[in-house]
Amino acid sequence: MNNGLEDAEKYINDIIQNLPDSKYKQRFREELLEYLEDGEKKSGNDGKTNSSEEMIKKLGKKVLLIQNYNDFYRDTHPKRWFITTVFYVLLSFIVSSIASAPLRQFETLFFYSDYSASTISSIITVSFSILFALAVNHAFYKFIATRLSIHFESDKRKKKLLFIFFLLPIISILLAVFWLPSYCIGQENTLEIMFFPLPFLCAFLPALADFEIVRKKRKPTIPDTRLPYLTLAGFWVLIVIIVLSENFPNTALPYVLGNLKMAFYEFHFLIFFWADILVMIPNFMHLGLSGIDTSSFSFFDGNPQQVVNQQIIEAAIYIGVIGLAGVFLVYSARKKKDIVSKRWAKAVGLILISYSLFMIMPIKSTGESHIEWKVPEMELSRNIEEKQFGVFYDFIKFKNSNEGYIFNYDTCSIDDDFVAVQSSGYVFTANLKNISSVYEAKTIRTETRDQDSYCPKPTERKYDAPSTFFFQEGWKCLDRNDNVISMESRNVSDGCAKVAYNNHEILEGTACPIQSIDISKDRSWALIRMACIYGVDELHLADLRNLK
Amino acid sequence: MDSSQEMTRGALELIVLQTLSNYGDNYGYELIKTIEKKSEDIFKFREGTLYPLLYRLEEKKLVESYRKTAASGKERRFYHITPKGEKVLEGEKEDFAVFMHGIKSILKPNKFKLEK
Repeated sequence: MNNGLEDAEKYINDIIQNLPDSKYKQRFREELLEYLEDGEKKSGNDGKTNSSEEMIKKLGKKVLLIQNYNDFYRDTHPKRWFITTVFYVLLSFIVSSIASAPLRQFETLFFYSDYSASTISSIITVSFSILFALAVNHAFYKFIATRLSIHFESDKRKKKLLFIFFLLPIISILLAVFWLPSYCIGQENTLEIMFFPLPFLCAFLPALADFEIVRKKRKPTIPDTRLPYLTLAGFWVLIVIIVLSENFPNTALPYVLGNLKMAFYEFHFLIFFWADILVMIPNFMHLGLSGIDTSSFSFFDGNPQQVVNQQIIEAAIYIGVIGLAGVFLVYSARKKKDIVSKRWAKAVGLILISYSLFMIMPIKSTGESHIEWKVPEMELSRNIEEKQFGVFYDFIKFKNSNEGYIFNYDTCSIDDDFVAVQSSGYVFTANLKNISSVYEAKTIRTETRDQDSYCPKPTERKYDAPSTFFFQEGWKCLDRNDNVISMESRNVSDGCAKVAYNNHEILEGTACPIQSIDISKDRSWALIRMACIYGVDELHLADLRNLK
Repeated sequence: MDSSQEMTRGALELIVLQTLSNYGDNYGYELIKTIEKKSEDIFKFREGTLYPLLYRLEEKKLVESYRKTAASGKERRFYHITPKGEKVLEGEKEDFAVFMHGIKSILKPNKFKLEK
């Protein structure tokens, strides 16, 4: 008997062939397995054997293994279920990142800053995501149904449960699309937020389906003992490819392989989120709730030290949590008795250590790492090529031209010497003294109307910089030296707003309504915030030095 | 197939229903063992015979099944004879009694032949 399991299957199948009603075949199979299991336990006791029991004795041990294996997963080992879930989360992260990146690139390459096209692209992307999530889930429904049938004999109850399982991802996707962007994250990048929970949804049902059992039944071609090291090797190959792609920016390599890097950035986003939360705690203590811009969940208060703190916490998470967890796993591998467990512990440990080092060590030829280790100067000069590598959400382009602006920012702050911008996981600062000119000023005549209550009246004006002006169509405000800042618009919604400072145009032809304008204390710079639609906010910096 | 199996075939339903009626709800393996023990090893059911029979009885609503943890600690499908099953069992027992009476009558020694 070469393989007891195969023989057991053959034995059961032979019996089932004789069963005329297919309705009971699955149940018959289960009961036969139980019968064989009982037979194995009892045959040693009574000493009586017939032809059936001989077969039972031969096959019983294997069958017992199957039954115990099922019980193991079904009831008693949530740890194993957790591992399976994590596996699917990782897999889904990578797959969804790779799959979605071309669409995002399509959007950024062809429809960049175009309001309507961006919306269309978002709809396409979301539709794709939903289809993807459902397809993945559907593929595993069969297994779920099989497993449910073991537990629940009532068809009605089974159908109800399946229906709930089917609804869960749909509800979650709807929440992700409509709720998260508007309430949780505010005006962050919509695409990023919509994609963020999807991998978890994709991971949810497959994890229930119990990957290990499926894999076992398929008789994997790669032995269990080799799988951990192959996984580790695969991870390193991925790292090498990414590093190579970063060092050859002028080849097609980054374009093709940049999508792979997205998986890492998804994790980075997670880490950043927690760092953000931790940094926020002292702010809460210091400022109280009123000090936080809860309307958009903006944690950044403009203090450069906060930037440094955040970077330190990020690094601490990478090294302290992920890296040390890796070291612990490698160390614990020594105590494992089973060779497969030992190798998995080692491999996963080394992957975690590699990942933490990968994210904190300089990997580019420029020496730049994923973490900004200090408050850099002139970091607002990231170029468009980087966007095409896959860093789509922090496109920063502050050049000395009239096209200079920041796309998709979260929060911003301006002072006499620097402007700081937080954008989807990155904080950029620029020393304004090093910027010669951002915009070529033109003189325009603006048709001003009455001041709005939002616009500070002269008697109520606070002279603490930066001054913030909230704008609507055709309004005019005065700063403390009675410089006039005004905006005219034929129609805000058609994207033809103009902003002037002392009748000098400082911004023209925006696609979005202007939300507010911050003036630096020395009145040298204006930071113009545009609230377009979720995820495509723009931030313009205007040079006022020659317009006083 | 030996002759005892041939003879058992016609009384399968009766044996299973009566065992369930006499000894209470039971699951496949234990049911086979009970029948073996009580029949003093005369009736030895194969699992390939018993389970399809139980499914047929369930189809006819003579038995019903449910899952329950057995004494072994494992969850098993138990079979329970329904009131309809009890009623049918009574009818079959009567039929079987008539059948047995006929058999016995046939198997009686022929007095005429003996006298002759």
